[in-house]
Amino acid sequence: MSITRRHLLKMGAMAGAGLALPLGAISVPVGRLAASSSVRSPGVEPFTVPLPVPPVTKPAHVHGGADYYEMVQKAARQEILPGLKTEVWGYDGVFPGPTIEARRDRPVVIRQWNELPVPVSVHLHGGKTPPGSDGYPTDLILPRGHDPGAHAHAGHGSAGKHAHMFKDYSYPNAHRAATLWYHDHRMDFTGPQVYRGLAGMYILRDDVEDSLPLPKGDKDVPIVICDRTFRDDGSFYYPSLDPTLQEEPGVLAHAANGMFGDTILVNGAPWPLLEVSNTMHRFRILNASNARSYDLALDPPPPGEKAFVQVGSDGGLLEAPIRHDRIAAAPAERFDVIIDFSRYPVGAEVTLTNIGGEGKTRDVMRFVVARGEKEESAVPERLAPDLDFPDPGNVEVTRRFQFIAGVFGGMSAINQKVFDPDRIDARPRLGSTEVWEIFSDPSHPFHMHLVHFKVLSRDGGPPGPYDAGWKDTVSLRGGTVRVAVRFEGWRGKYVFHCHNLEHEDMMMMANFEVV
Amino acid sequence: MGGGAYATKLRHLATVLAFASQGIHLWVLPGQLAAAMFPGIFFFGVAVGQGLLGTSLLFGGGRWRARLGVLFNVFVILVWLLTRAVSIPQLFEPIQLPVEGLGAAATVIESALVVVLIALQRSMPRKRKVRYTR
Repeated sequence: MSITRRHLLKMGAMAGAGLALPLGAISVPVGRLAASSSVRSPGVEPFTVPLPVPPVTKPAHVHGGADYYEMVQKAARQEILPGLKTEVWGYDGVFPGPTIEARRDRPVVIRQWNELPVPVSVHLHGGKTPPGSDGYPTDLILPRGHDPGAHAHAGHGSAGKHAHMFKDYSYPNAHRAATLWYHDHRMDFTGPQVYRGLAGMYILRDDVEDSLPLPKGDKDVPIVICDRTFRDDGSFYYPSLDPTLQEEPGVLAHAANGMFGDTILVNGAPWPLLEVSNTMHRFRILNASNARSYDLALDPPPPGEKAFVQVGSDGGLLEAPIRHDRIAAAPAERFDVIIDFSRYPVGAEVTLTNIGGEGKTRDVMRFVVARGEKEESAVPERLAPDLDFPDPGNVEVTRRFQFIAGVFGGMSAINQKVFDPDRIDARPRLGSTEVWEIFSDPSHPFHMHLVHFKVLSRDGGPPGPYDAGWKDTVSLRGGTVRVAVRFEGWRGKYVFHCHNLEHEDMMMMANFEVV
Repeated sequence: MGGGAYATKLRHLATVLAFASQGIHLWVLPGQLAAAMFPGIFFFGVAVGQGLLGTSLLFGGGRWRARLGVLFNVFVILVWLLTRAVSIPQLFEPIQLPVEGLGAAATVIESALVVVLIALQRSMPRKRKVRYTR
């Protein structure tokens, strides 16, 4: 067969229209995906940076038995990696944000100012909070000059109650002492905004806890663990589809199941070092990572005994301590643990490791037993009065929710529905007890606003070793978890969602309304 | 109108429809591929297929091309309908995808393309099988 001009023209046109055009169309996204996958943080020598402790902020004024705070959300430059400056979006410009210390039944009002270029919403995670102060994803604080109609939350559902430039959040603190945290909760953009630094500790104390001989003062240490990836210039790297966080929500496909950074930060420092005395220390561990779970252990393990004594969970003190070799913490979970360094000789180096990590993410931080000291603390065998868990015999309703993420990215869903602020998926009655049965593939940290719950069972068996006490977040670990919830406090609309923040942003969230 | 002219008109119409479908898929392809891998790869495949079909029809067309075009477009339409009727989390997303403007427009175009290709196929004379005898 001879090749004619017509044949050549046809082949050329087919190659152009059939291959060159589509290949041209994918060149930009493929380039972005390849570049994004290859970002590596600058190297840092682990265990050289001292562990910082976030500052405890003071009330601006005290009035009528309540503490009034002012906090400004703003950009600032902070040295996270040695020798490099990172722009953070922080509460008062610091990352992690300043710690708020509150007392049970003493209300706190925080005026949050937004000096960032994007809308924000503040959620007190674990707080039993009235709906107007819960940080509903569309209850936004718009920045100066922001048109409320323009892309406040990328057009998903109806608008919330927008505030302009500032908003007062009221926290009654009418519950037990607990380690809570506050973080951004803006619709569609929680992941990138928390990643840039919008998270901080909120420690609620009460007389029950004060009366216990647990370690106090500088031996009561908040440990905010998160992972980040940095560019060579020290800036955070987050694979947003729209890095301005103004228009299109979501992340590049390779991060659709979570942004996993290659650098572990504790209280905002990479693989830090803490010198301790050979006594007991209390660590309030918060997994503030967007998506990474940690399986924490001590290396070397203490001779003869278990590494950790858990005294508290998300919702405060346990009834009795639980001893663990490891602590498995999903995103947003808190574990209040005691480590007794008297089991190590002075001079010992003890590494807090993440058994589930690989490479650099296997290490978290290091303790150096630097000095001997007299022990003044103890862990009593009884920590708190009976926890008054919901009685499964009084259950009014059993609800089932299925958490499934898109395997190759895209939307994530609960019961095959994406989040719609206008749709209510459950209407529990105020004061009622319900059982919620949550099924997941493969693993999602399930979080409910407003309430704490009790884990009843895991995959038909008893609760797992890390399910004790009151919880507001539980790792579903690819199975079925049943929880008992008592809906108390306020009527109104709240959300429950996956606390893998990339899943949350891609709509793995739903509403319940307490009626 | 003679049979040949009618077939040529149908062929040109099919070409336009194939390129229109390709254009829509090319338009959404970059955003889709960046955000969700599998749908992006599917859109890439559709854009390639429609481009090859359109070009091939532009330069003539036999019955086999029309048949392949019908099969290909029926498959694309079925995938669109399926993902709007049920959720396939393992392949696409764990939700019934919404009926959005561009997707609906592409499906209407592809449906029209199927009709035109069937008409084109019918307008073409069957080639007689040649029997070779000694």
